[in-house]
Amino acid sequence: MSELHDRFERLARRGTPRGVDSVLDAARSVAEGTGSLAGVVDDAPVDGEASALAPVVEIQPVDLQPFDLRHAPSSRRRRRTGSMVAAGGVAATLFVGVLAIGSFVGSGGGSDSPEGAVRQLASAVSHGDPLAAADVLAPEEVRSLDGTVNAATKKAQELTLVQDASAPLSGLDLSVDNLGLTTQSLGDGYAKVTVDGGTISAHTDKPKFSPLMQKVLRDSGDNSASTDLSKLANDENLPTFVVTVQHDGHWYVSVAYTVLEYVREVNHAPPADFGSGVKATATLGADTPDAAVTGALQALSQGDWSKLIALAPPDEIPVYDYRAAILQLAADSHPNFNIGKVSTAATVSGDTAKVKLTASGTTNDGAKWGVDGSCFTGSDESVSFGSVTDSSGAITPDTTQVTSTPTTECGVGGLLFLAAPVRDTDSHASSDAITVVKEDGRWFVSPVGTVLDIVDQAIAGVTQRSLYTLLNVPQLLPPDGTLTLGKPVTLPASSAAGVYTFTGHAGERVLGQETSSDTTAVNDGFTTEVRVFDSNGKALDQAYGLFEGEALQLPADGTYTFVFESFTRSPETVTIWDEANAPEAAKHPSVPSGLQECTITGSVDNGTGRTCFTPALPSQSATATTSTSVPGA
Amino acid sequence: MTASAEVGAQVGCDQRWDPNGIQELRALYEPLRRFAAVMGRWDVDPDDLVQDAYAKVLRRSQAEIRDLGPYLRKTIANLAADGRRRERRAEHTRQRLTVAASSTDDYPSDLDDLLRLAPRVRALLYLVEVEQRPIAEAADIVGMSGANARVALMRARRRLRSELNAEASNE
Repeated sequence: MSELHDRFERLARRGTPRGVDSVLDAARSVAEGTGSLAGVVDDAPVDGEASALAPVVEIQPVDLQPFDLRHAPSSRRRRRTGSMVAAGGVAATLFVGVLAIGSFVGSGGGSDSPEGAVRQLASAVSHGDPLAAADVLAPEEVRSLDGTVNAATKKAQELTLVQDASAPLSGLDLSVDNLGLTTQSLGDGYAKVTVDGGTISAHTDKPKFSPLMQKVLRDSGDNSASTDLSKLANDENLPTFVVTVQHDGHWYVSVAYTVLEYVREVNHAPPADFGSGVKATATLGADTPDAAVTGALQALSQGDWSKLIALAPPDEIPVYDYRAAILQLAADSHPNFNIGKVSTAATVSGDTAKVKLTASGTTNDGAKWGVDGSCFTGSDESVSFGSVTDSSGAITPDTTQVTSTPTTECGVGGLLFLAAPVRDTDSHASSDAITVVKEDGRWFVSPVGTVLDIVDQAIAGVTQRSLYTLLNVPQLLPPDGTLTLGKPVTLPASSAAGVYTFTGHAGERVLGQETSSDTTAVNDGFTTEVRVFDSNGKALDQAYGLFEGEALQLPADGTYTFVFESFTRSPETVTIWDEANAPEAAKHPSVPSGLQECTITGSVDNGTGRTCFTPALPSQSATATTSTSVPGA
Repeated sequence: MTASAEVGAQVGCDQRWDPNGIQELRALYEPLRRFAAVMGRWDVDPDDLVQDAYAKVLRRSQAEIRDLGPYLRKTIANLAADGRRRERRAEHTRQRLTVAASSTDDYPSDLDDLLRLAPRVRALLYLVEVEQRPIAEAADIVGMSGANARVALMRARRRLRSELNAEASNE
């Protein structure tokens, strides 16, 4: 098998090694904690000499890359899916996290100086005092979060994620020490406070976590980590700073201004015109809630960024102050869709309105799109091409024909990952509508209010099943039923786990078989993942190949828990067999066609899935599927 | 809710690992990177897996780990498996959102035979065939029982042999 060795050699040498010094140094930095809080992970071996690792609060440098609307930034040392997204994620996390703390109690008195506001916030973090934190956060930025945070904490307590809704951070101790600050005025009522020194430390105290979280953390112990606050943005050669704003003689920390100022500085964009948005409120916005929404959609379609900026509430998101920077960054961004029809239906309540948008049109490529409340309709394009056979028998594609198939999705972004969308059939339900707010007699589209409505919707849809699946403890869910050899069970069409018990015997060998009508998932190899746990809750490593023709031999008599995680869009059927009685398809499952590599571009549809061109195939029509990105998706 | 005292008592890598231990980690870099390249997804940088595995052992005391090489390989196997699980969930999410997915691996077609094997089986085959490790040790590293590993190896060899022969006859 020297050919095998050669191929393994090529595989083993893939990529460009960074070298042991670089890898080891980076690992030491992570191990010693020099960056922002990232998460708790544990992938170390848990048996034998490798006893369980403590949960590690990983600290990594904040990833702030230039905010380039035209191109994704170049990759960093670690391969990432676009560092612009990462920077946005950091900013969003910071924004939501800090505002969430503040929104517990609304906003209060601020501080008598910019530095005082930052020190008060640091002290509040150290003492776990959300009341004190809220006191120094800009009132306009925290006022609308009460309902969402209350719903989230109640849901967390309902699902036993936390023990006490009033203390959701119990178990995580934070400390800010030796803070060194300097202040620079940015304008009347605006100041930049730079952190010249200080550390933020985190310590987990496992007994304070809820019983569920303790199970999630398994046998791990407590852990600590700390980082130098002054170096959070070191990768971008920027100091750590926050922007503070003055209201009624008191100073507050502004998360929105801080995020925008970072984006501006990273991109070397023009400075902000601080306070200009609030001063110009009466001249911005729209006459009515409907006009604000339709105006924003038209501005987006036309790439009229100035108009779009003017429709954002100045005190909620100060993009008007940063218009010079944003216009420079967006200069070469050109939307690729046109509006055919648009209509709105508004429900006004005081200074807030909910506007349901219905619109449709085409993209520059001719594909149709449509919006109906929170549902978006776009196109999946199927590219068909004929083929020709040359004198050597090789087949190559020639003519192409594009067929568009409309597809509709309701809901929003990554929140669907956590919760199934909960659609309210009432056409004017808040989850279907865009939030518009009235300020100084003018109407503005509220991104925060709109997103919070959708977050509320997602929170309402979180179930014990989806949460436990996300936390990777699906075996703790109440069983959905009992498995009987040879008898199929139908799994729900979602990524949440299905849990079944099975009474087995030592030495028994079982095989699995899955069937799904979701041919796309089947062809792509994305169908169902299975895990099996013994009566002590220990995962059986050998279960990995249950659906791949590799029988699982049960180690002892007892009740086992089978967890199936379906990744299909349609219901999937799973059957567990005794190996001796299993059908041939379970013993020798075929390789999903989508996992096969085509030797030339294109493939043929043989009626059961994708088959690659080979020289022996006759000339015939072929099909490949692509997706087209459409606005608003 | 302050933990500055405990945090202050936290020890660094240099106190948990002596120079010999660090040197051992350095010496393992090349074989670990090769293993990570075989075990990991095509679009994951093998160095990232090695770095994460290093970080995990550096958080522990050197004395806690008896056999560093297998321990690190096992950690890499776990990291790779978790990465695949996360990617699968993310892919599912992308599908639900109808976002144009860009998950197509761009790898040389002549490695297709290897990459079509289940990652654990591929890593098992590599450890046994290329690194010449005993089946029991290799099975332990990738998280399989010895019996299952033997069956998996037999099937993988048979399949690869068949596919290599088919390729040879087509050339």
